[in-house]
Amino acid sequence: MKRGAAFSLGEGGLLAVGGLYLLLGMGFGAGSFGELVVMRLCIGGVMALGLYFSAVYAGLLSLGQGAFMAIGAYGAAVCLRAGGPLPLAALCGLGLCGLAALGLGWAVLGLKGDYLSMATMAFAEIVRAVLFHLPGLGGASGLFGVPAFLNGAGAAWALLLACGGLCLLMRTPFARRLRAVKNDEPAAESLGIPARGYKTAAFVISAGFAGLAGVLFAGCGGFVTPFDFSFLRSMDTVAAVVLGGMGAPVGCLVASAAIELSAVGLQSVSWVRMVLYGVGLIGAVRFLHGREKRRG
Amino acid sequence: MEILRCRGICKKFGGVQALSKVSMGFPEGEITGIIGTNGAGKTTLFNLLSGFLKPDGGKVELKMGRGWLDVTGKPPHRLAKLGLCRTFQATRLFEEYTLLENISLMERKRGEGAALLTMAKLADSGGKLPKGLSCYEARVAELLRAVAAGAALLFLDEPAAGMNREETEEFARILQLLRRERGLSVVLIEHDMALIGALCGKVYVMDGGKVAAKGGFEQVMGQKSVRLLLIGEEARA
Repeated sequence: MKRGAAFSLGEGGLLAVGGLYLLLGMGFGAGSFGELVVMRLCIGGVMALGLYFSAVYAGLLSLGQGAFMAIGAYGAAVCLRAGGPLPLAALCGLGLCGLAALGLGWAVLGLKGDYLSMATMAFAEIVRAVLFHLPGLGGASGLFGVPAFLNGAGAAWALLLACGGLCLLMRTPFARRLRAVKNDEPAAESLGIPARGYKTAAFVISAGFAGLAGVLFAGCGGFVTPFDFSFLRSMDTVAAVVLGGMGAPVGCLVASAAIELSAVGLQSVSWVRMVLYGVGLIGAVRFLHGREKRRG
Repeated sequence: MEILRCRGICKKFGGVQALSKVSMGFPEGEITGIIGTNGAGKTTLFNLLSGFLKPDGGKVELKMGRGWLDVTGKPPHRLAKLGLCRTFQATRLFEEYTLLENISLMERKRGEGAALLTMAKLADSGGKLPKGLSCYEARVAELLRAVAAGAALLFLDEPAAGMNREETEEFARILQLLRRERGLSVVLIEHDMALIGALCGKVYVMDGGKVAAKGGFEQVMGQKSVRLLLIGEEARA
C-alpha cells in the first residue's frame, strides 16, 4: 500500500461496515433481542480484527484468542463488581491482557507456524483451568451481578474505534516492517528490524483487541463464566479470519457476522455450527501449511 | 585502515570444526574477496560476522570513530543498525512487496530507494513483484535494499551466481559506483575468479575452515598451493 495514500478501498469498506453496525446499534430498542445480537456481532468483530492483524501482518495465527478475551472480561468484571468506574475496569482488563500476552509471547514466539498455534491453544486451556479453580472467581458459575455499562450503540462505537485503530495501524512503518518480517525474517533482521520484538508487539496488539472484546463482553452485564471463553470462542475468531479471506480486513468482519448470526439462528441445529468450526480449522491448517510451503 | 576485523574465530557443529582460528581484516572503502572450495566455511564465516551465528571463540570488532567496538555475538538487527548488512546465497526479497517497495522499506532518506533503482537502470522494473524478477534484478535489488538501509559494510554471498557475463559486469559496475560515491566497504564471497580479480584488492583463501592464504589477487593466485586448491593446476616452472 502506498505511503500516505488517501483512503483505500479496503479501509473504506471497513469503516463503512463499522458505520453500519453503529446504525443498527442505535436503531434497535434498548434491551431488545436485536440489540443483543448487534452487541454480539460487535464483540465478535473486534476479536476478528485483532487476529486479522497478527495473522496477516505478522503471520501469527493464535488459536487461543478466547483466553485473552477471558482475561479482559474477568479483569473488567472483577473491577466493575467492586464498584470501580468504567475506565478503571477497562484498564484492568486490558492491562492484565497485555501482561499475559507479553509473558506468553516471550515464551512461545520463538516457535514457528504450527508449533506456535499449538502453544497458544495450550495457553487458552491453562487460562480456562485457572478461571475454573482460582478462588474468588466463582469457579464454574463464574462472576455474577456484573453491572452493565454497554448498550448497542456503545458496542458499535467500540467496534468503529477498533476499525479506525486498525486502519491507522496498517499505515504505520511498524506495520510495513512487520509484514516484511512475516515475509522473510532473516532478511528483515539483516536490514535492522528486530524481528522478535516486532512479533511480540503484534502479539500484544492482537491480544489487546481480544481483551477489548472481553471488556465489552463484561459490559453486557450479568454473568461472566469460563464457559463463555471455550476453545469454540477461539475457533469462531479463527474461522472468521480464515473465511474472511485475509485480504482486506472488512472480509473478516463480514465472516464474523455470518458466524455469529448462524450461531444465533442455528441454536436448535447446533451441528451446522460445528461444521463451520471444522471448516475454519481446516482453513487454518491450510493457511499455515501454505506459508510453510512458500518459505520453501 | 580496517573497518572490521575478526581474531581467532572458531565454530563447531556437532563433531565438525567448521572454522578454526580464523582471523581477517577488511579494509575500509575497499572490496575484499573470500574464495575457496565449497565447504571451506565461507558462508559460515559470513553468518558469524553478520550475527546469525555466535562463535565458539574469538572476537569480532567494528571500527567506531577512533576506536573499536566489540560486536561479537551481537544479533543481526543490531549490526545492521551499526551499518553491517549482508545478502544471502539464495536471494531473500520480501515476496509481498514490489521491487521498489523492497528497496525503499528501510531507506534512511526518503526517495533514496528510487534514486538507487534509477542509478542501476532498473527503474522500469520497480513495480514488479519478486517472483517476476530475473536473477540479476533480484540480486541487484538485495544489494540496493541494503545500501538504502544505510549499509557501510556489506557482505555479499555469491552475488554473481546465475548471472551471465554482461550481467556480472554490470553488477561489478554498480558495486564500484557505490564504493566510490558512498565509501561502501564490501566483502565478497565468489567462485567467479574474473569478478574477484576485477574488483578485489585484498583476497583471502579459505580451506577446511582455515585461512589458507591472503594478499593481493595476483599474488595469491601466483601461489602453487592456492592454484592446486582451487583449480587443481600444476604450477608452471
